[in-house]
Amino acid sequence: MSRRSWPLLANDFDASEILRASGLPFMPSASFNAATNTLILDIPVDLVAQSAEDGKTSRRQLAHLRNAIERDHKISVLIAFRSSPQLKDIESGLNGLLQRKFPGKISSAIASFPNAETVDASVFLSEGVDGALSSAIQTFVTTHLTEAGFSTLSVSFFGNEKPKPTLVAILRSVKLLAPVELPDLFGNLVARGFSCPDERWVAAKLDVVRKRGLVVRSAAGRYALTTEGLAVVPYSKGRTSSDVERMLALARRKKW
Amino acid sequence: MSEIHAVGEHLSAKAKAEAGECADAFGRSAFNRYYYSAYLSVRDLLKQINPNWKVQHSGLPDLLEDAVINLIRREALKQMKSSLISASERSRLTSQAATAASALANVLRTAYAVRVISDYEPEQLLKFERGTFSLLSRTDGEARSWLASVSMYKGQILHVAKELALVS
Repeated sequence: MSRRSWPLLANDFDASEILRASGLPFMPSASFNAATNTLILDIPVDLVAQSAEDGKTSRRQLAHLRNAIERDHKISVLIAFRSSPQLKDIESGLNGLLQRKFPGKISSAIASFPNAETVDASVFLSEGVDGALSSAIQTFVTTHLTEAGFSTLSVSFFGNEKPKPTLVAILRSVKLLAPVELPDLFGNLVARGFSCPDERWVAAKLDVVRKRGLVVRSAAGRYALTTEGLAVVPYSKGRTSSDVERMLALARRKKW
Repeated sequence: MSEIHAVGEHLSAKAKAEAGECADAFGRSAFNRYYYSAYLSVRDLLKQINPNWKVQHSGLPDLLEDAVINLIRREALKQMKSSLISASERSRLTSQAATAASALANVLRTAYAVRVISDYEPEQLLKFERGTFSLLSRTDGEARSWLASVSMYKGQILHVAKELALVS
């Protein structure tokens, strides 16, 4: 399963040089999850000792490395302890089960094994996973790992959260597309990278701005801005101005 | 921008493989390319928010901390007065933008200082040690991460600008 399948928020992060200069006695494999800005370091657990010597590292050295990377590069670091191939299979199995049970809701799951009895699971959620669903996922992961025989376990979540559109962001989309029907408005907000639970949620927001006199709704169910609504949507002279976007949208419009 | 950064990485690798004056020259050019990849990324941010902002390299950090933040504060206040966002949303948005802009400005200040020495002070040689090189105590690895840092803070500022509908 690819850990790089999420939309990129920041540039990809190459840790190879940092790791080469880190003082670790071996080169761990690393991957970067750009959506959560998290660097995942795979550390073979048999190369972790009480103190850093004889080709081995220590938990203290790893903690120091993690802190240094987080401080210097403004990213999160997740250290995943790797053990025997059997334990690696448990991670693969967990990923498979999660994909089957919660299709489209999980980007990936990482299982770290500090010792034979302990597992720390990190679940990277896809967009639009709410609190109730993440609780269900947590219960599922906990049950699965307990049944696998681990006595100590923890589950952490890494969310890919997109913001819900503010009222003015919704007004900007109405300005762009007016007169616009609800499904098209919903589609535009999602395309702009906002997280909208469903069309009813957007309709409720439109009701709020309609009652304030910023939007009108025609008998045919199409929304448009009022003069007051137009006045609160920011504009500038640039290519990203809402005025320019509106003009371009009108020029591209095939159906009136 | 990513192409310029890749050129920087190539020059950096050449610097580490070479010796003497050539190594120094390749390393200096790598710092230059790393700075420009970060600078162009920030310039793109400014163009998106207000294409009329024009500024010298050295003035860019101040512009981020003044004009960009003031624009966001002004718009957030306006929207709060229009009851389009709450007071806590206004506080969250302006605080997020100010933190990101300040961090972004600091990355640019560092990068610009290194780039100026690299380009105009050839008598100040790079220091090669432990498989890497540095200038003004800034290593090649740190310079390579300027673009990633800039992209992250830029994303946070654009995020706020989007929530305020300043950009699409």
